[in-house]
Amino acid sequence: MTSNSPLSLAARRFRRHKLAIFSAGLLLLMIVLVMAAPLFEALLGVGANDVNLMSRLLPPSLAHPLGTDELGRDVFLRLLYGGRISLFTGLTAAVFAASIGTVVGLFAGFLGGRVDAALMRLTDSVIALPLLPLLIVLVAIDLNKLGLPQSIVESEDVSFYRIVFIVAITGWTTVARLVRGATLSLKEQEFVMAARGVGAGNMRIMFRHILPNLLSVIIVAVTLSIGTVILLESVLSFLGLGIQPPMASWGNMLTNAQQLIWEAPMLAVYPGLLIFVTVISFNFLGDGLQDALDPKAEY
Amino acid sequence: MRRFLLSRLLQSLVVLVIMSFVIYALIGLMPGDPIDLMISANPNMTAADAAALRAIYGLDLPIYERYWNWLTAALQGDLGYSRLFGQPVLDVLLPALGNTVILMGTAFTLAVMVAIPIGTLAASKPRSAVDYGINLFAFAGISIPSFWLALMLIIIFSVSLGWLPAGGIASANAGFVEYISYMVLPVLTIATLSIGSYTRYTRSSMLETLRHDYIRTARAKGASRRRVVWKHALRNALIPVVTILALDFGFLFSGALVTETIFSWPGMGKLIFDAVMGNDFNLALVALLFATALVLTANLLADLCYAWLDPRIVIGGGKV
Amino acid sequence: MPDLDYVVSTRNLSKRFDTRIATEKGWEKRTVAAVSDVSLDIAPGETLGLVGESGCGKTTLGRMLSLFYEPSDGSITLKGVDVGKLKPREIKPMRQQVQMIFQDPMSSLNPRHTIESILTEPMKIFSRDPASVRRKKAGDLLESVGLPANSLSKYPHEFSGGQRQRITIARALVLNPGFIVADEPVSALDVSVQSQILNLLQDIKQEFHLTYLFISHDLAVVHHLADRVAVMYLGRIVEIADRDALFTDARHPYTQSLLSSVPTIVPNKSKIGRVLQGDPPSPISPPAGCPFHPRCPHAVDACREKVPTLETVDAKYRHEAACHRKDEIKRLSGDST
Ligand SMILES: Nc1ncnc2c1ncn2[C@@H]1O[C@H](COP(=O)(O)OP(=O)(O)OP(=O)(O)O)[C@@H](O)[C@H]1O
Ligand SMILES: [Mg+2]
Repeated sequence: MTSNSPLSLAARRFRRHKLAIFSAGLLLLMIVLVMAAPLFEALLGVGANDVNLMSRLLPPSLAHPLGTDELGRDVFLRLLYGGRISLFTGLTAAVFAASIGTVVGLFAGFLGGRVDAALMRLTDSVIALPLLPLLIVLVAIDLNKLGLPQSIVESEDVSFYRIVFIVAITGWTTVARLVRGATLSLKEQEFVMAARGVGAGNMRIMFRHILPNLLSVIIVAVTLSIGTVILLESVLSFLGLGIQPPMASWGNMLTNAQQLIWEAPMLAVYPGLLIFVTVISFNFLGDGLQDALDPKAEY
Repeated sequence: MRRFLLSRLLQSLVVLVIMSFVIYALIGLMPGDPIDLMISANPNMTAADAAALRAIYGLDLPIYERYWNWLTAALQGDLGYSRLFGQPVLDVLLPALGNTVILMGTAFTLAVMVAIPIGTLAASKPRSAVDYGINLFAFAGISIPSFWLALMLIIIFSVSLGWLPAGGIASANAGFVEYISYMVLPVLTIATLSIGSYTRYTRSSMLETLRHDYIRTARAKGASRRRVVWKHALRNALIPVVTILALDFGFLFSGALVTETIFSWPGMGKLIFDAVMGNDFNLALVALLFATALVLTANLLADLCYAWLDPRIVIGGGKV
Repeated sequence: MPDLDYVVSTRNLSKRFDTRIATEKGWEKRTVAAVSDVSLDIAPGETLGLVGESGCGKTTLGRMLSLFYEPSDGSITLKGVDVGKLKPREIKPMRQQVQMIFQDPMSSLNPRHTIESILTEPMKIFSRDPASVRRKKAGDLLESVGLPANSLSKYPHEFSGGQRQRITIARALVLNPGFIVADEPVSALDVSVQSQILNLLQDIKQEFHLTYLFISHDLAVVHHLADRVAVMYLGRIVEIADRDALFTDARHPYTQSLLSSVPTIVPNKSKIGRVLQGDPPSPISPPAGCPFHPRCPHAVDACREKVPTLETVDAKYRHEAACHRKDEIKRLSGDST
């Protein structure tokens, strides 16, 4: 028996994953950079959305580190602002998705029986369905017909809310499965019986006793699903269904780039490369965390 | 065995019926309805005219009645007219369905044919440089955005090298080689998206299988690790992989939608996208249902494959 | 509450589990008779020791008595209330009457809860005391079980096994139950701390006026702690008596062989019975007749046909045994020495 806390053991195991540590560093750097976007704006003396038709499609220079796009906007600044949106959307949607998945998995795993069968059938169906086509319809629906308040329908951020909602209602399945699996083994632990013994009911046991023990599973699941979520957001934005211009996102920056692929191929390279690097970093990080937090791993 | 397939078939049908209602309801929420479109085409129409027309078309009925009317008509073969193409929906759909099946089928076969050998290879030398490399490649495949991959392939093979067309499909009288040349990039795109995850499933399933007793026994009897992996373990390792692949066709179709749209491949994915964007209700509805049915059918086929690989499956029970 | 003769009584208590076992033909449904036809009474202030081989149903019986398992048959009367067929909502108030101490203090404490939240939770559920009162009471309880009150903010992993078991004991005391089921409370602990925990259990018994069902497979421990002892075999009580009567005058051949495997407890008695051979039969397919007959040196035809019931051996020591030959057994086993 060691006097070490589970956390320090996990930290020790995590440090063995060079790639995951590197990824964490990279993501941190990325976050710092996009947070500092206004700073770069001031430094370069142009705004990210400033159109300048006199300087279209310029090559990289001191004034424009990565050149300009078809409207003469600074590509580097737009990448930073696009990153803000993409990362923020990804994190928010992943957290929502994880919350749905956690509740579904917790109920399925803990209550078992018919509830479990029904919820898992639902999960399997959502996984098996061709989601993107269905999402496209979902994006296209008229919010007025849903009877949502006008203030929301006409708000500037509606494309953001919409994308978060849509990604969340489809992205929860992985978390649900992982949480269900972990719940199945946790509920056999004696502390669950002990809690019942002092009078705790199902809700209390699920949310106060089992949920805190799912923390590591959820962290891993969220990390792994951020990647999927960012991919989904970017593909919808690319198709013109996600974040709407002039707000930049890495996905919608590629929409225009496709038209210009013969004249300015590099415009198509940058945003996608950033998506790729971000997603793969989250996946490496999630993989490393999974190993580090796996309760079955030897110390 | 027969009962297993029958119950699966029934399940798929239930999902299909539920989805048809969900899709019908969602399509009804898209902006405008056929009458709105008529109004915008004919500014002289009054509100009273519009209401009268709505009644004629049955659009004032509650949703489940409209759905029922649509369903009974559809089951009698009347799927309606595509506004966008000015043709019966089925005439537009069937060629697209064929194109998508060709594209997805080829991409899936390619993905499986690459992923299973390299996944197995990685598992046969765990923690080696080969394993590490394959793992990196698999992670890249999972993480790459489909549309960006497509654009990069276009930049490399069409824009820079000029070897392959950047999109479209060969004309009807073109030769085989030309037909293939249009397929290469879309197939590569779709396949790459799946190879990563298939490789990882294969690898972990193989590692799991190699821990079993009978494998240890075979090793103890002197079989080489390589022989054990490829001869003894592969078939068993593939069983769980197949179940996961079965759930993956929906993802494959999503990838196909993006790819078809970028490469202007006239398949179901592009059709759905165009129909939804162009407010072509009839077409969008039926195309989505066809896509769902396509995916569910692929699922069923995978189940068959699973049953064939694993003769031990008993319904309602598990395996030892 | 009226003065009760017994804190807990069971009549014909049984528990069956439906399980699936692996056979050559795949999974098959089977029923495990984990506890069969148990009738016993525990008087206020008494410690009843429950012994038997692994798998004989001790834990199952203990869990029925602490309201975790619903009986398949028979009745449980706890503090005068028939609790066997209560609905979940009706069981909740009864939980204040009985608590369980689990075998493994590792897994019976939630690793993500502080000691304070572990000890105050029962009060949160059952009483309206303000937080400060709850905290005070938790601290007091910790001192009663021999831990410093400043342990409240710590997590279970910061304690040793013995300390953790002290925490679970404190938790069992929070609701002031009159009856505690201790399921092998020391068998997961280092030998060096076992006796400390056993002494603690003795001390709090006085302080909190407790009645115990003490489950163990260690006869020496039971001899040390119990006032009465019940011996279980394949889901049934085969012999029950006041401690000294059982240890000196065992009438069931199974009890005798258990005793013979630990001769040091009763050193001045001649060695009776034989050390057991083989494993007990599976509770999935128990033998017909007396469950012990396949391993019994004295089995006769009657033993293969009829299940013996508990019958009085000596009313003075409330001594009962379930053996067709309980009256001749002394002579039979005496001969064999
Ligand atoms: N939840 C359950 N489902 C199915 N069978 C069970 C269950 N709990 C116990 N059993 C079976 O019932 C029998 C009695 O088990 P129990 O745990 O009560 O024995 P025990 O005397 O406490 O054993 P040990 O000394 O090993 O703790 C065993 O055969 C066991 O396999
Ligand atoms: Mg036990």
